[in-house]
Amino acid sequence: MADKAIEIVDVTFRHKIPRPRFLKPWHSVNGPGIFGLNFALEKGAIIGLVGPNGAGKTTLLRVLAGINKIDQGTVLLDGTDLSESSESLGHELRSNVGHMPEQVRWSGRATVRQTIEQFAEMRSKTIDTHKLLKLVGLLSKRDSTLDELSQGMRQRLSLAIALMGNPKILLLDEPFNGLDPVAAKSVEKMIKQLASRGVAIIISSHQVDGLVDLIDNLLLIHRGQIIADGSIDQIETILGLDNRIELSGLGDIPPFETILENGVVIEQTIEATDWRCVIQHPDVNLIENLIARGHKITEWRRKSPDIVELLCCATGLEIEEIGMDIQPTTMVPLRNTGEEE
Amino acid sequence: MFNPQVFSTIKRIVRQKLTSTRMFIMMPILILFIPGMAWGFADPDIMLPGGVKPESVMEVMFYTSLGVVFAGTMCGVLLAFDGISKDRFSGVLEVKLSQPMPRKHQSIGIAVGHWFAILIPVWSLWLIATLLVCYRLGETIIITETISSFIAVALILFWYVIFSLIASTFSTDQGTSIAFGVGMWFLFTFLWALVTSIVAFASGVNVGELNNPEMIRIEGFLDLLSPNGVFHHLLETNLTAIDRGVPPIVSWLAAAVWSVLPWLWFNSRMTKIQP
Repeated sequence: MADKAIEIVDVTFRHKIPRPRFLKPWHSVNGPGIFGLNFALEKGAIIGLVGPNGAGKTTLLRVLAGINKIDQGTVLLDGTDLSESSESLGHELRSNVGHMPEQVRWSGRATVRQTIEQFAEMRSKTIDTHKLLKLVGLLSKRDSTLDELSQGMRQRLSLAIALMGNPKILLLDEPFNGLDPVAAKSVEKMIKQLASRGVAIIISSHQVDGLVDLIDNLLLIHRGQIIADGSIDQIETILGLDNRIELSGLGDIPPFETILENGVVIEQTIEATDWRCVIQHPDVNLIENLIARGHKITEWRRKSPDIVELLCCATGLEIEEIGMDIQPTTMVPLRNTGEEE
Repeated sequence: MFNPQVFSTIKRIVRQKLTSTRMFIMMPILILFIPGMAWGFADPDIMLPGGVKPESVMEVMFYTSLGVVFAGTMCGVLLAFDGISKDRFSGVLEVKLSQPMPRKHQSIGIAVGHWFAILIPVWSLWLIATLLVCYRLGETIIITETISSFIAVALILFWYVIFSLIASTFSTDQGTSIAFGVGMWFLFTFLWALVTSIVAFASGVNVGELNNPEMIRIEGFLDLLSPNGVFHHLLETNLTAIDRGVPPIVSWLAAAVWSVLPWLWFNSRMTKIQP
């Protein structure tokens, strides 16, 4: 069994929402957050954190970065339980975790090098600025002011700061935002290199297509709860999205309702001269059967669901709902603790 | 006690603020209000309203303190109003809070850095003003009185800076924090006289009579509830001619309360702040 870089057990954190009252203007109530989360991150693993807007991805990353103090639960860093003292937990997390928040708008007249040095001082570390800037491709901009940086360069600067002090765990919130395709590829390559050196990495990204080739495991989160955790294949099986084939052919579409004994057609497109369909749990001899019946099959292949499909299936949401608005008809209920919410 | 992380934070903020565009805009105002006022009040022929003629160095510096109240505190507010909110708004605060440097140390660095950024120019100008007054009046500096006036100047700037920073921790946009800072400045600089008059009137005191002892007593007491008032009480400890019924120890105690409570509040805000 691989070593665990970090493990969280039944961790809960809830945001405080101000609800001022006439005689108690500072009054606040518990709001959304993350609820009883359990997961372990192995050394060298890359985990993709995916969920709809407002699912709790950023909150989870902030908890792991030691910014948000947990309300309850246990955090084990390198197997050591740090939950006894919230101060030491926060400090240990901040010392061992590199955090790259989403879209930091660096601005001011300080140079890139001065900014790096500023954060190095905050970490009490001597940093090889040259090496770090070279790693993230900002060496040529080391004497540029923050105001002169493009969004992509600002992302690289955030990444450089997250990488300071050789963190054991790296948290990347939307790391590919604002990066051109070449820079995105180079960041991907760097992430893989870091993982091969044993750094555990969590990537929260909306650019889910790019994640498939990069991540080892997927963590689907919705309404502050983990709804699926594992490799994409494992999650496919859990959600019943495995064992699907995509068939294309010429001529009329075969009458699958009479041909299929077990399988189900879940998607079909009929054009003037050809057709395409996706069948779940197809019969073993389906292709031979179709050919024997005289149907012209032009292509067949295993159909893997993409991350969006997994997310839709796991949350019970439609793509439009995931992208635009969260409807109250979702499968996972909003958890509460029975007190004033 | 000395922490290199805190020291470097202070150094960075001071350097950043002293070379900022805001400071270049504020410097002429500060020069006009502090040494400029001192030069004017030290004029041998000056006669203030009510037939008052300042005669000693500390008396002239007492009137010059209006420059600190009007310009110094306003510049302090303008330097510190976005001390937290700007970083929060841009996402930099999240990066800072994810560093191992304890939040307590970060808050000390931020508060002291902003305070020093306004204290260094104001103290320099206060020193120049004191020397100018000594030169014009042909007197020498009394060290103890001068030191206490410097401490008073430092404290009033600290109060305004720390209140602006507290407002900055609450606000999610720049407008709110500057409105809070300027609003507080306006209240204590201009409206406090109104508050004093209302309280005095409600207590049955003739507010139109300037030398009414009852009015002076109420004013002296209410001034303890305002940073500007406490500042003047502290300066008045050097002036034997003025007695508003508030003993120096009470003035210094009020100064301690005005320093410690906001400081604790700011620290607590910084410990709990969410990016």
